[in-house]
Amino acid sequence: MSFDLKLPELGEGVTEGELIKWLVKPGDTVKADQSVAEIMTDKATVEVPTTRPGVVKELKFKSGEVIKVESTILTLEESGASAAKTAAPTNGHAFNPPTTTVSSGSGGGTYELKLPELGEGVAEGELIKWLVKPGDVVKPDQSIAEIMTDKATVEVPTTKGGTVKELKFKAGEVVKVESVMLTLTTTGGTQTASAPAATQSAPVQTQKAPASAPERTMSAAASQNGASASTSFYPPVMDSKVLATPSTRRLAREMQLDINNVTGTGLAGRVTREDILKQLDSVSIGAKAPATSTGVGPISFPKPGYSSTMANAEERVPLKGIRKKIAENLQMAKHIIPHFTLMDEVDVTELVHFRESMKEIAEKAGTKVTYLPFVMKAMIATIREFPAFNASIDDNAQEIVYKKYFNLGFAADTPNGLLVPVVKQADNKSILDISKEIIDLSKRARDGKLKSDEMKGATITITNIGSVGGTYATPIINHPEVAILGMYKIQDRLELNAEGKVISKKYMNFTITADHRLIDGALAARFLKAFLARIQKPALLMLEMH
Amino acid sequence: MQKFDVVVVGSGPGGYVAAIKCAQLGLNTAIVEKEKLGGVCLNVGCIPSKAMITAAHWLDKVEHGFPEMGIEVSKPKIDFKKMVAWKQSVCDKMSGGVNQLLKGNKVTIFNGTAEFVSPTQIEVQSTKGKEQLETKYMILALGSRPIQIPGFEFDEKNIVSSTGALDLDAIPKRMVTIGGGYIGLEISSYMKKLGTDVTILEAADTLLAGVADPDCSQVVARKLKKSGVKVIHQAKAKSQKKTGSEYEISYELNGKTETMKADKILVTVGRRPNGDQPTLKKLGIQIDERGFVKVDAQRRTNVKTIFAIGDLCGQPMLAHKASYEGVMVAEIIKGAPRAFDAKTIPAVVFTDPEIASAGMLESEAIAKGYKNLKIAKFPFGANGRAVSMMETDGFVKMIASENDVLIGVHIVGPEASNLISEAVVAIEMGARLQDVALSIHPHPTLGETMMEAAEATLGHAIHIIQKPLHTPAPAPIAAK
Repeated sequence: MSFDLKLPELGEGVTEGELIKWLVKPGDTVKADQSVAEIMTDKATVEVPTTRPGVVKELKFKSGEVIKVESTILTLEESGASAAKTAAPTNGHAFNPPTTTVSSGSGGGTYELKLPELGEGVAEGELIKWLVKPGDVVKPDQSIAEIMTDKATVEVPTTKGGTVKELKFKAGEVVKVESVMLTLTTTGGTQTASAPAATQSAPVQTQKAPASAPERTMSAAASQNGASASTSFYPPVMDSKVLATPSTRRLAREMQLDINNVTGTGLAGRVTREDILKQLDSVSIGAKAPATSTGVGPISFPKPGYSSTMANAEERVPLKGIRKKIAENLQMAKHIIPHFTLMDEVDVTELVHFRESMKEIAEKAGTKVTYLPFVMKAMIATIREFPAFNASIDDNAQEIVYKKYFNLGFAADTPNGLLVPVVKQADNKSILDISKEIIDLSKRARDGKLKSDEMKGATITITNIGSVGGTYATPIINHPEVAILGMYKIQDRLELNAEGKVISKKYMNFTITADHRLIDGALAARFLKAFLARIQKPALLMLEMH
Repeated sequence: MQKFDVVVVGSGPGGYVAAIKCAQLGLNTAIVEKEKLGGVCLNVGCIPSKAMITAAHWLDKVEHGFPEMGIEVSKPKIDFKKMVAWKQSVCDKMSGGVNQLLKGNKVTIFNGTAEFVSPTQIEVQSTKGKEQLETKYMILALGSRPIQIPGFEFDEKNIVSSTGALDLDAIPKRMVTIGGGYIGLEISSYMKKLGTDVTILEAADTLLAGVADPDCSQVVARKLKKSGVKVIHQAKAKSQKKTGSEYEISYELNGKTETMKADKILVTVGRRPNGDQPTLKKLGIQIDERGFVKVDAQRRTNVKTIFAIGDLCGQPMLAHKASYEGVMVAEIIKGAPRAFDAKTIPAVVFTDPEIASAGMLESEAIAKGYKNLKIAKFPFGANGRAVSMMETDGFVKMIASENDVLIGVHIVGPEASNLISEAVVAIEMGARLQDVALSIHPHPTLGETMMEAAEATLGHAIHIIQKPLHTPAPAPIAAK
């Protein structure tokens, strides 16, 4: 049965209204009281509901038309009520801002880019590095090389677009102003209207040398941030969904925290001021233990103060507890040890299979096996070959201490900060035992329940920061140890095998950071190679089992 | 050679604010301005247009509001020269104020054109001759200018940009406005009220396309139409021919060429940044193909000691964005770890009624992946103060996420420009609808519409009927 819906009274003295938009379309099923149209009158915009349910058959008017009260606006086919549908919302049109580019139809050819003036009285500069290589397609104004002069390091842009044909200098060479740096094969194309057509030398982008930067009043960390590239500034919140007040966002920035990564505890996931402050604050745990194992007495470091003209916009919290201990230990380690880091990758396809094959047994034994126990076993086998990595330097006695036991520390990320629990006598423990111990130590580290001696006595440490993110890192050695191993996340990669078939492989990155006083670069390289060989062929570990 | 810590080039709402903040932070600061202090905003933009809009608003009230309220007056007469002079006095007061503030903060003012010599050197050319400035930091606040289209070159007498339109000698009989953006609509609206016959040529299907909430612009479009402003959509202005004192304007509509006559032609098709000044090249900063100086979130250019703020560094070209950047850059120069960190840059259009918005449009929220948006409107017609002001057109529209977090507010109606600030604070604070709805708003005020719109978005506002009528219990605040 068909029903005509009429436009009802819209208010006193209102005889007509303009149809703004339909909220339903033919075929839609509507319920009684569901709004079907928006009507604008002199007084207000109203939504007109249908008095009966049914299926929309015909719309009698178009948006923009004026409808008199009591006119039929739509017809319904009456039926049993079912789920309602509403029309999709309409979106605005895209706004195209005007542009000012004009086409210049110059034909192809070869263009010689000369080194432009680099500043008053500067006749030459050293080529630091090329930012392009032959074959690259470059756009006008794109930086093509970094040049260092007495005054600054500058990026030299090309004035024209095209394909890079030849680079005339090598990195390290000194280039005179006005010499041809590279040649381009130009193809013609667009050029900005404002670019002077006849310019031969490109303008120079100056990067002020830090030495000439004016004074800053904030802390070393802050001025370092200010002087470095914008990448050290966390992304603005405009594009993220983080909820926090403007003052809390500013506090996070000042504390150099990316608020986008802070978990909010407030209503609807708000990041509160307390959430931010908690990142710095610390809770004392266990028996007021030092956070990491250490074998030397305190060293006195300069204690520069920090004063500012913006004190009222700053927050001061005591540096105490674990955070203070972390700060002291790392400052000392970095101060005493000349660090260097070696990085490499390894095929871990077999290791992945090997671990997977143990899953079931591990589950039966009531535990979960991660990669860390395998890495520890491979480490121990490699350290036996290279005892310098399991040593300490006793600066006071001027002796090197070689340790004949294997206590492996592992870095644990906890709400209170970095802690290093230790798996002791790891060489005497099975993979399953080590797994259980790691799980237990990690949990108690997170809960703040580690005992102080469970964080002491490590002979070498492993950091598994890759489980959080990053391709490589350069960790700091846990003094008085002399090395720290870094393990990073496993990535899939396709490879060609000997038969030319595409096969899937898994790779993992590792770093070894060592104390250069004791460990030479070549030794570290040999250590890493031997270690990675064990990781690649985990079955080899069997040969070295005691 | 005079030496400074910071030289600010341009004294608009970005530049003068940056200069004052730099000086407040103890930096030895200079500012260079080639025209009047205050830039486009104070002299030929925001402030003079608001003065003219206010004058036309009162005239309209006298003509159309007074009789209904029972006030009888004889037909008002317009002394246009006096009106323009009053408008000028407003601008002069504001510009004079900037001068006082700069001087009071010991900022050195140079009246002249800045020629850039190197990242640390500027030459100022003025009637006094040339002066050399050396600086550690530079803040570029060069602003923007009206875009000119071929065939309609500005003479600022008959073919005018916003600048010329705000400084006419007499009220024109007929005016054609090319471009229905916010500047074109603001000027067209008040000119109509002063008695000009106005036709708007707009290339898009709707006015304020893509910048305002479509429901909001529809209310303005309707009021314009009612007031007698003719809007021709999908029309492209082609050329003009002067015969005697009038112009014949040709435009393309549906593939056909049409013509119309007018005394003045207002061209408001947008603004372009002043990044094309020849000596800027000497700084080695990167400028994109549209003329915007490329900057990072700190408004730092590729040259680490040079910053660009305001219209020069990107959209939206709004004075309050420039001022925020000015303060921020001054603090960065002083060493503070700042970056552009606002969630929303509000926008206001002074049409009749006004449009104001903060946060996202519905379409933007959907594009950003928000699902199950909560959207509702509260009409000014249901607000006591609006009715008693005879200003019932429009509504407050709120957009909230699934978990009630306020993400967009769009207002069309009386004092929308003043009401929107509450929405800005709410969005910046991460407010939920309940936060706005549970704050007591004073009665009888227009501000109550914010509270009621929040209630409406949650389901039930008191002063409108919303279906379904009943909810079993007060809506609980979900834990997340």
